[in-house]
Amino acid sequence: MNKRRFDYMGLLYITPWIIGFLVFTLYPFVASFILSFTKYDILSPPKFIGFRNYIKMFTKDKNFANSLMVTFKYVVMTVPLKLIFALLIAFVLNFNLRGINFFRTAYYIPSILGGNVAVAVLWRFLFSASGGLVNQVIGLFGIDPVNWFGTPGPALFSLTLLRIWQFGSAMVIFLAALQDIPQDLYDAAAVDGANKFTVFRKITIPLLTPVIFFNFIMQLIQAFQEFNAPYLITGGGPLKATYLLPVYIYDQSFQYYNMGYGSALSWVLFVIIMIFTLLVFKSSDYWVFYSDVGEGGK
Amino acid sequence: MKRRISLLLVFVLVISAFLTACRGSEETADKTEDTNDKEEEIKEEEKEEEEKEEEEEKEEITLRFSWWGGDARHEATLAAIERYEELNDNISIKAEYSGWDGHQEKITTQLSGGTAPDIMQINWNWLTIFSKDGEGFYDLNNLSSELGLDNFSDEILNFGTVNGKLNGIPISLTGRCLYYNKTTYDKFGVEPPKTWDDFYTVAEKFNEEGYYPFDLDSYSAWILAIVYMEQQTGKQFIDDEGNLVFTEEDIKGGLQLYKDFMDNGVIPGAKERAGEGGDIPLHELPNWIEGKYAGVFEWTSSVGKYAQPLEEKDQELILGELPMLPDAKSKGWVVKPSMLFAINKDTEHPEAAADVLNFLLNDPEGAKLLGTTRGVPISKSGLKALEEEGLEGLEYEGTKLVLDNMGLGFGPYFEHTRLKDIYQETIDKLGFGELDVDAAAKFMYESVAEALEEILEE
Repeated sequence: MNKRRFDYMGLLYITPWIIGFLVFTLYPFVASFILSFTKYDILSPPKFIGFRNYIKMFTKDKNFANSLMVTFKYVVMTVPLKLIFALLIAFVLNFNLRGINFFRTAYYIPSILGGNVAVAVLWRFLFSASGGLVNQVIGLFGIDPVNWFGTPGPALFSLTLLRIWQFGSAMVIFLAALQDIPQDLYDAAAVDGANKFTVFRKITIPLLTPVIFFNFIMQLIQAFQEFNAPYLITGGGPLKATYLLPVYIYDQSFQYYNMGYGSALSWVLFVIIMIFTLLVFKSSDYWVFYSDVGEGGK
Repeated sequence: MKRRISLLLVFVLVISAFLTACRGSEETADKTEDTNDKEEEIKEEEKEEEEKEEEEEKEEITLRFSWWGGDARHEATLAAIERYEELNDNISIKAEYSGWDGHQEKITTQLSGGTAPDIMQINWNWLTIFSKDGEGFYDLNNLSSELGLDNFSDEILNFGTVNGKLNGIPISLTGRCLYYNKTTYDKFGVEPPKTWDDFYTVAEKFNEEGYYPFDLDSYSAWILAIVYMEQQTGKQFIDDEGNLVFTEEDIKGGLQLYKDFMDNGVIPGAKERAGEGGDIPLHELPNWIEGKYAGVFEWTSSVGKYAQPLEEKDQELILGELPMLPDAKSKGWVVKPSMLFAINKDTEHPEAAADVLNFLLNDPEGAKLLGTTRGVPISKSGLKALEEEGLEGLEYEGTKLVLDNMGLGFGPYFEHTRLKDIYQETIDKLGFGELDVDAAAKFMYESVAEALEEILEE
């Protein structure tokens, strides 16, 4: 009778999720915020110390400054490269070739393997300076062997490559979007005599922007949170060149038992991610094109 | 109305199903932990029944006992527990064991939540984390007769003492020794180094063919530096109370040794070493397995994993001598307890727990059942029991050698995780040429002093 009656049934269906959310997400979220203003070593009760954790972080802590720098470098390298690579592969896999479904599956496999321990161990051997496969392959092209893990820059780049190699999920989304682009737009362009590159630039890319936007945000967040690869492969070294912020948070919280400080670090990372995400959202007005805006929209 | 009620009913049902599901999974988790004990438990139950018939006067006591380790240790300990329970009808022991990974986190949670087991195998540096004032564990001095403490010298018990309170009994000692790949040394026709200078002469011969006398990771490098500096100065780096004793000048001596070793090819350079494969441990590196890095400076308790891959390739790892400066002011070589047994400060049955430990550590039968699964025992009667059966091997020989050359010891604070990270960072900076010896010494001195201050203030 009352149309606006609260729908208990719906609530019931999502109860398991709500409980999980409250216990495993909301509670730790709030608790870590409170803990970030305390000194807490797990064993004795937390001691309220105001903003001292945050002050220390920004005035005294060299490791934090370094980790922040390294994290930015990693994100700046990883996100664009991965998007470009995923788009490229999706573009290729969009052609109507024989056995294309097999290739689509095959190219998704690295993403299933993910950043697990086995892959990390494999990575260490692939990039080993003494007889690693990567150096052997680039040797075929006359490039001198690179001391991947023994030099700060390349060490970080080897981790970037691992992330790029897992392009699958971004690729699948690109692929779906590519297949959504109406064929008549291409036909019309062909009639007008546009070349392939112009078609790609003027039709494909603009119609893909909503998906690029989505993938960009997702990859950005994930890159900021990268933990497995540096923890398992390089241990943060050499010279802390791969000591990403999440690894530092782990060390502070679970190695040094500075839970309060670890929480404060997490919150700074969270705020940084929020700021970047908001910036990307703001900027989307200028470059994201929604085809349903209407004929006039550009 | 009816619909509302039925909705409510469904809701309650779902919630209760969810809760039971949670409990169910907890139970299964418990079960998997205890699968190995199942038989024992059944026996226990039988025993309990028998006991009830026989005598009711003795108090029924259940003790919880936790440790970490590998399969060999698990099996031996379970066997010893079973034997103890046979001998002591009224005591049953609930074993809680796992691998090393995650064990410290588990104990941390238990200690802070007040649910820690009665008997715990603990790591030495846990004393600095869980018992800074000596109040974190039961003071075992109060149980000295039950524990058979006369089997341990004061020097040994000192390792487990915080603030005058005996927090843990060392089970075994481990020391840093030099082990060499005999096959490689034979190939070059040279003897493994006996003095500090020998390293350089060996290196000259080895380097021509891309071989190195031995390898040092950054943490081991700092320990070796400590040994060298103690021989030079006769001082402890950090004393037992957590004070930094070394001066910046003292530290230079050790860092210079590392730099000289690297510059003269005694050890592979830091860059080269890191390039081999990031964080891969030495014993998994092709250069170790092929004998190109022909030695290692390692805890005697860990030597097995270095010897094994060499054996597979028909090479032999041998114990080397511990170099001594001609005018050494202290012998300098380092020994520490590999692990200790502690009793929960809130246990209801301290005497019973102490009796169990006495059986495991000092009773010949208990010691034999445990064997060397926790290293070579340090308890006098325990060791005697094992020596009668015959002890040998790289670990036993190494521990004996290093005990004869023991210096002042590096104190429980030396291995604090934060300090370890500082040692590693400094050595890496020196190794990669980012800092010279003077700057690295300054960096080390200041960082360690600052970290110690913060650690102690906590």
